[in-house]
Amino acid sequence: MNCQEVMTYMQRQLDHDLEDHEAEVLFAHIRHCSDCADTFERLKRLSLELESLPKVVPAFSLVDAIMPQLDQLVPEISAAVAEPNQPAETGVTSRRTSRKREGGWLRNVSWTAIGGVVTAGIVAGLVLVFANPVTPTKSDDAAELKSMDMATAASDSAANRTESLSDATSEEKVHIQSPEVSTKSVAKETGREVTSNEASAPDVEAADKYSVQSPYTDLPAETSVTNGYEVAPPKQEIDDGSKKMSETMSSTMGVAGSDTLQKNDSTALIVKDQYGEPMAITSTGDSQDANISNVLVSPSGTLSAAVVDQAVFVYSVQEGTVLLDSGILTGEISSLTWSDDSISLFFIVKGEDGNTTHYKIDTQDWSVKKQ
Amino acid sequence: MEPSLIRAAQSGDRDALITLLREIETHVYRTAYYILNNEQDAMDAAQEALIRIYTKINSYEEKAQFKTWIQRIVTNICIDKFRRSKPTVSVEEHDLVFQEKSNVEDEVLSTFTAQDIRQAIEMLPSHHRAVVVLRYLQDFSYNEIADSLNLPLNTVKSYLFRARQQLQSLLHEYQQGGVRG
Repeated sequence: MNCQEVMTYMQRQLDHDLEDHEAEVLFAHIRHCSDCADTFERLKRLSLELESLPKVVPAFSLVDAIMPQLDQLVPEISAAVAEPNQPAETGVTSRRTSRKREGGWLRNVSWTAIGGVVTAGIVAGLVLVFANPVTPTKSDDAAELKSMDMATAASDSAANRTESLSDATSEEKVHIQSPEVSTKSVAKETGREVTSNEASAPDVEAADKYSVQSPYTDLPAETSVTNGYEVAPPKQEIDDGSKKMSETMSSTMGVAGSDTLQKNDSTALIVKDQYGEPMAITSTGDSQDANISNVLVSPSGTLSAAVVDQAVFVYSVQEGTVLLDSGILTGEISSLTWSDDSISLFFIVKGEDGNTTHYKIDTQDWSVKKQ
Repeated sequence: MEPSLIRAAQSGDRDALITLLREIETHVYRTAYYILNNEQDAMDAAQEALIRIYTKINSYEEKAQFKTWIQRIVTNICIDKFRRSKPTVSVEEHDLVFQEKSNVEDEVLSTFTAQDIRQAIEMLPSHHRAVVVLRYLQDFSYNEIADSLNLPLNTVKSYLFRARQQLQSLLHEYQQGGVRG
């Protein structure tokens, strides 16, 4: 055995990895090779010193330090823990109310049930979308109604879950949360459809609420969370599909004479980084690092506006709760301005054709109006 | 780490999750401290790791050891941080160590200080450093290190062996510098 091979034995000896007979070979070599004996002595000393490095502890509790951030985050749902036999619990409370009391509410949530419902919703929605490639046109309401009926027949839960489908699959769609206020006609005016669905099952709503993703996207594969996308076909198709479906739903309901009310109980949150700067948006069934710009806090200091991926958001400064989402606006959004009383937010959208449109958001009735 | 605590945390018990984070924060910090060799950076990295563990707790699967899972998260963050910030130790800093040493007479017989060793660890490539830290500060086996760093077992061994040889020659250089000075 040459000295190089002995070196490997020495190294393994330091890690207590040598078999007895290998150790004998090592020590036999060392007895007559002083170079290796010296090397082994030095390595042993180094190893001892490495073992006795100070067991440092943090100067203060790190968990205490990050508690404010943790309060804003919700652990992600993962299929990893989803076992089909786990009983579904009820008692799901809304994100908004649960924020008020510290801890405890997570206990009431059955992640399994939620994950399953999200998946079911997506699958059902996909059946709906792909089985009925409808193109919404105002002149063809009857056909749309018919297609809706077919869709409903195709999957009895599909219609109920259209809402969760559009949440879960539409990349830019974040529903508006306006506490105690129903936002009328926002969807119509912005051209982005949000449909009301009184028949939404409670568990679907629950699924909406808890599908939250953290701003971290660079985790190793093993720790990545199974979300809806892993079972979904290419994203662009879904986006198109769900948009079409939303439009269809909307126009159908318009014909039926009902208002296209904002009746979504889900909550979107602006996630702030450690410096309090908004860095991402979490929303229902989908979230991502959003492109957030033009952050503007209202004169009162309680509300903040920002441009998030081609939409204007108003959110509470304290909690980051998204109170209003203007919907996607085509064009360059600029000149966000608060009125002095913090009630109105003005902004300008410059379209590709060069035309500028002035908008006004009223934070009392949460309306978005063109001016 | 109590498996029951981990399960409670995964089933949505927020108090259990917070308790779990408190139990692991020192381990997380210690790894970050020795990989980054800087208290402030270590604080930042450890906090980032804890937040990530908090949000990703449900992606932990019991077929892996929890301690290797958390060390994977923190080492990834540290290696990533290190890649972004400082590729090498500045030459000046290195020289300074030699000069300090030059005044010590009984250098050959003395053991190295923790400071010396930390400086030497910092000279290692990031993965070698992580292997050394997990072996000596977390007392991990080859297999546990392999799981944590997602490296083949043989790679772990070769990194660890090479790292020890490098550390030894680096520290030997310090000594020589002291004697020469």
